[in-house]
Amino acid sequence: MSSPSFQPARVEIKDVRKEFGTKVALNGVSLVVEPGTFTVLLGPSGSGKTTLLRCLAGIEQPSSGEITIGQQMVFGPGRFVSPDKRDLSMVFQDYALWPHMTVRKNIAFPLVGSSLSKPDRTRRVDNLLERVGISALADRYPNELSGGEQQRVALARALSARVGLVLFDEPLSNLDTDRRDQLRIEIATLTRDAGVTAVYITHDQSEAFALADRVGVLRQGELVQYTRPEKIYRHPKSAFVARFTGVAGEFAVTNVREISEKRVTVQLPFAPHMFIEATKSENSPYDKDPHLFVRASAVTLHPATSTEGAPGVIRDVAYNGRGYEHVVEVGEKATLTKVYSVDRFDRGDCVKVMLDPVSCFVMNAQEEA
Amino acid sequence: MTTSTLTHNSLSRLRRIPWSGLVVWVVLLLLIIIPVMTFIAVAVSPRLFHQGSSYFTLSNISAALQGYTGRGIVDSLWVSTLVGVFAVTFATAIAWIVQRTNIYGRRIWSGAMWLLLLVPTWMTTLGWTDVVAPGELGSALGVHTLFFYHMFYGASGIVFVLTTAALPFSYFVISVGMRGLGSEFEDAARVHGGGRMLTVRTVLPIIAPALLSAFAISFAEAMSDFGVAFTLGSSAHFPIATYTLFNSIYAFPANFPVAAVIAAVLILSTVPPVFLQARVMRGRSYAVLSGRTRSVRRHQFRPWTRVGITATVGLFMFFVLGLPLIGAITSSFTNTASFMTSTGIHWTLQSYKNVFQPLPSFTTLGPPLWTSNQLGLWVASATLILAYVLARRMASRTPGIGQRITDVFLLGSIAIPGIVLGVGYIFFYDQHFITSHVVDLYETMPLLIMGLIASAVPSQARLLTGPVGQIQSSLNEAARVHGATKWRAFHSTSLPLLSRALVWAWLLTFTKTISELAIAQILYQPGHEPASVVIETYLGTIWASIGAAATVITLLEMVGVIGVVLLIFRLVMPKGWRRIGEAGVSS
Amino acid sequence: MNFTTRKIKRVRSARFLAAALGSTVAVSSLSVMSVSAATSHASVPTILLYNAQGYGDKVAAAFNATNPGFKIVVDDDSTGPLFTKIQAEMAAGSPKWGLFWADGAAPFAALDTQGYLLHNIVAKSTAYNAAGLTNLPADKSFAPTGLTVMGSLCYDSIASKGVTLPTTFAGLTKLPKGVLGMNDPTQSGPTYPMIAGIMAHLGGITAKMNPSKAQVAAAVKKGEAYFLALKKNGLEVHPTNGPTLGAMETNPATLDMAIIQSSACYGDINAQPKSLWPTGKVKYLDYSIALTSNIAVDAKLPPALQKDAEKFVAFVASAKGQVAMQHGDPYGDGLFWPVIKGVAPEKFVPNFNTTHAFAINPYVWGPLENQINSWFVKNIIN
Repeated sequence: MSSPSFQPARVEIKDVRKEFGTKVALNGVSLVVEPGTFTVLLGPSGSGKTTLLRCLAGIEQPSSGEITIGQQMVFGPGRFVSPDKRDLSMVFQDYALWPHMTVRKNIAFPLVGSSLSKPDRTRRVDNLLERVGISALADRYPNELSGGEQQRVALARALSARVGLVLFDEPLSNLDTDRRDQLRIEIATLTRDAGVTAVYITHDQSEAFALADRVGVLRQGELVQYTRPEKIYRHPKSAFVARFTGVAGEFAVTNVREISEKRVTVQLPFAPHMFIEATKSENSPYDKDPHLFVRASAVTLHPATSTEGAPGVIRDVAYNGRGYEHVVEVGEKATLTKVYSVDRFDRGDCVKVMLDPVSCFVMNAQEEA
Repeated sequence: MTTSTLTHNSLSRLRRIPWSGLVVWVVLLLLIIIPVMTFIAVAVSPRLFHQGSSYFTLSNISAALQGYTGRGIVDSLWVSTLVGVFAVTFATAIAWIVQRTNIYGRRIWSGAMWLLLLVPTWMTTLGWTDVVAPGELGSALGVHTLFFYHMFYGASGIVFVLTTAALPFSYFVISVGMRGLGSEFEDAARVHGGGRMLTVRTVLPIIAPALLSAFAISFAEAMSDFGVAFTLGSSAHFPIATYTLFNSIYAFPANFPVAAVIAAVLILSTVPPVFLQARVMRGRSYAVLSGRTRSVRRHQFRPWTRVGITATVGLFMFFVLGLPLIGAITSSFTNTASFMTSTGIHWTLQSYKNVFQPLPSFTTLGPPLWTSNQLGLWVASATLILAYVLARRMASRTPGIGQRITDVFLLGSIAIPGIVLGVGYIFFYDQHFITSHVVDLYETMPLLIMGLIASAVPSQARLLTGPVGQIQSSLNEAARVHGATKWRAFHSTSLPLLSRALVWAWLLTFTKTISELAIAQILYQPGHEPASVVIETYLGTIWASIGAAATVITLLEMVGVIGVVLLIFRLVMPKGWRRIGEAGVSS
Repeated sequence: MNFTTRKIKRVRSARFLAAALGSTVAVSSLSVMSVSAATSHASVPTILLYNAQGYGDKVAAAFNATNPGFKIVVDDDSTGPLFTKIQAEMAAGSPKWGLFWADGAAPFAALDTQGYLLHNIVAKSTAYNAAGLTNLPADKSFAPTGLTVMGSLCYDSIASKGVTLPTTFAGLTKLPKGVLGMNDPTQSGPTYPMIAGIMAHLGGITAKMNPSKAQVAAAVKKGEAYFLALKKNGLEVHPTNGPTLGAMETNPATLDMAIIQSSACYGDINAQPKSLWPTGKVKYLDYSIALTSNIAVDAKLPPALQKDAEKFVAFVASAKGQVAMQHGDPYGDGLFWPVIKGVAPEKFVPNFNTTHAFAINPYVWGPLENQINSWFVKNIIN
């Protein structure tokens, strides 16, 4: 299955629909993944991201639509190409290492039947073992490895056949936090070094933003927004995207007034004397039920003595190694979470809160049906 | 719409048809459904088969549900329920002790359960008769056995023998469920203040699917058992349905319509256990395992407790298996109508000689045993393939109506007495239009093989469902996604993980085929009797000791074959495969 | 050669051996299928004999040796399964059987009632003796081939010392408690005819009579009272001949005597190489119940084969055939009284006035078997 002349694949998904009985798991999803890029599909449980990945892999068959990987249409009207013929590989959430095979054999599995000679296969496997840092474990069995080591093996296996497309099914979700970061970096580095096209699914927004060239946000089987991470962060298309990609706070606002093409001012009910400047979200109206969505990065804390900013009280503080994250109460039942500051403010301290309009958006809280 | 679009759409529609599923159901139709339904049709349409004057009548149903036969059905229902409960209780206890404690001789007790599984109920009954009948082994040892003799030929004996027959089924189903249960569940219960009993009560629901499956199989097997009916016969106050069915069929003239009603009731009686199981499981699967299973920690008994527990299990197994085997073996070393005679006990090898140099009216065992072995080879191999396919459907993680139907069908099929299957085969495959225009299979080896497969597939499919269901689907998906064809994915990934279970399933069917009597007796090809039919001719006569000798030889031969096959398996199995099933690695 | 190489060689050898063994077994098991093919391409016409008699295959072999035009193929089994197969085949419409040979007249009467048997299968020239003629049905739908009796008193001479042996059936009710045994009619085929015979004798219903329902009911009632009296006196019921005889032969005996089939008792006493039961004896009461072995022909057999089947019937109902039967199972079914003139029984079988054997009408008593057996099981068997 390995490709002697390796080419990263272009992936095109056109209007793919998948139904399980009466339940619609995918509702006409379309997107294009450019060759050599790293795309992350982000969404909560039940959003359809796993189903979409499995449809790409050929493990599930869509109900309708088209999927093209590289030059080959792998799914379409009257056509279905089996998974083994799609020139791709996959890293599974539960690693899916075969317990009766050694690490070496697991990694070598995709090379069986390839045009590579045995010495070349051995060499490639050895290289991969070294690259993922598990050469010493080559003759061990999966149950003798830790979770992180198993996932490395899974990664090496996925890269061994030099396929055009690698799929990742939430590979870090079963790992400890510290291992997760380490492995995320390895996934990013190794995948980009290999030059493959990658499609990765996760429900973790920070993971998505750290890895992706493009992020697709899925909700209830629909692709809500598909663009660069920065754009999603700064211009979420809907309240759902904003919430899912992390808001420090969300407040109902009144008196929304346009002050420029991209900016508005709003009034917060709990701070009626203040007019907060915020960004108009592209393609997202704020006519019916306007809310202010505040990214954590938009918030800066100042001492209470500062002349600018809205008043607030520190309710909680946590040290995260590089600084402090605060929970700030800015009004009755109105709080801002994950507010970062290099300096520590203690619980109960009064502070002044400044909001950067670039990362504050005004949108309707409920989306159109 | 262009022609090519039409062709594409047609091809697309054709591709969506689950062909493999259709093939499986066609095979099941020919093997089980059509013959059995043909027989059952006699109940309401006796005239179709010259068994009465009506093309449609319900009179046979009311006749069967009343009086002696009606009581037999009621007795069977509660006996089978009792058997299910006893079998699951004892099996769970033994499985827990063997799998989760430091009892001595773990492999011996597991092996003993396999031996119990191999021994058919007619052999067990023969052995017990050789112990408790007056003048037999018990009497020779000075035990006053008349009381036990009469008890054995009553409700207690029937429940006892059926429980011992159901015990190994339950044991293996529950063991599979327990093997993959990591210690973390027990640890969690104990850490949160649970005592031993509370821990057990907390953990047991986790293996509820296995417990219910074991109950359902035990219930169905007890409902359909022919050996007990054939050997223990009736008791004045305790007829059971298989016995009344057997009586109806063997009467002069045979009452096929009433027998058909009884058969239908036996089959339908398995529906409640299936629905109960489905209700309790509710989307849970057998899958407790993946490639990440950690080793099971065994409870460490203190030395004297360890000895005591081992002795208790040993005594239990001796009682359940050892004693009847000893009864049969001691009887085989005499050639008198009873073990003790007025001129003493006559130890002799004459019965063993007579097995192969038979008396004038009997048949030597050699060629029939060889015939049985060949039948075993064919039947075990075909059954394994079909049972595996069905087990995969059963273990599917997306349960639908198809899975429920398969489940009900399989369990109902376990409850079909072999004699019903045999007679059903005659009713259908000996139909004039079939023998004249399709194929004349009746009284040929292929039809016997078909009947034996039909008898073996349902229980084997259910037994395999556990091991098949325990394998995470991602292992196969990973193989496919990494370039393996369906076949390579199966033999590289699923087969190694299932190898042990498949070998044992094959061996089980092989040995059960050799000892199977009901279907063999009806469908064997004249002049080519299998061993079980030959052995049966001795039972109940004054030459029963020759029958015992033939039984011992057959049992030894089966054990020998098992030994050879397992040795070969061990020798040729790759090292990685051997790890499956050992501590720390799931299978 | 290092350790790893040796190990690899060993594994390879084991795999080769396994493959060779598996192939050998698989190829040789193909012979089980070729059995079917060979049978279906037989060169002479065959008639399938469903046979429950111990001498069946020997007699068929003797017949085939002198009748090359067709072949009798024997299917040996117990009466119950054979009878079931016959009925199921007839119901399905494509019977395989051509001849049926078994003990007891009831199964044959049942088949005849359903129209399954060919009539007039006995040649006029057949030299039946009195026993044969008494048990030949009017429509000659089945032919008696040998006589044994039920209700012979089989006893152990040592165990029954001190017990006055009865001379009548009535006397059996006066024996000491718990010394008498018999078989279970639902397990032991010949036992029901004995029960029916006792009932018929008590009711005065002979084989040639055409009794009314009331007469039969009265006879049944008398019989029930009789067996209840036996039970009150401690009658022991065992499933079949083996356990019944065993109960007498064991030490200490749990039964002194039993009313069973004569051939079973003689067989046990006279089995070779030496007697298994040297203290066993047989005595006859005021009457015994005739149990004939019978043979019948399938009514649906093609006409040409019907003639051939009748030839076999003629053979077994001839002196030569009777002797072949005796030699075919000398310690079991061969211990019968011949039904053909001029043929003496085997040496272990004593002279016996076979008219002493009370015959029953199977057309009357056959249909009552289920009812009477059910009563027996419920009221007599513990």
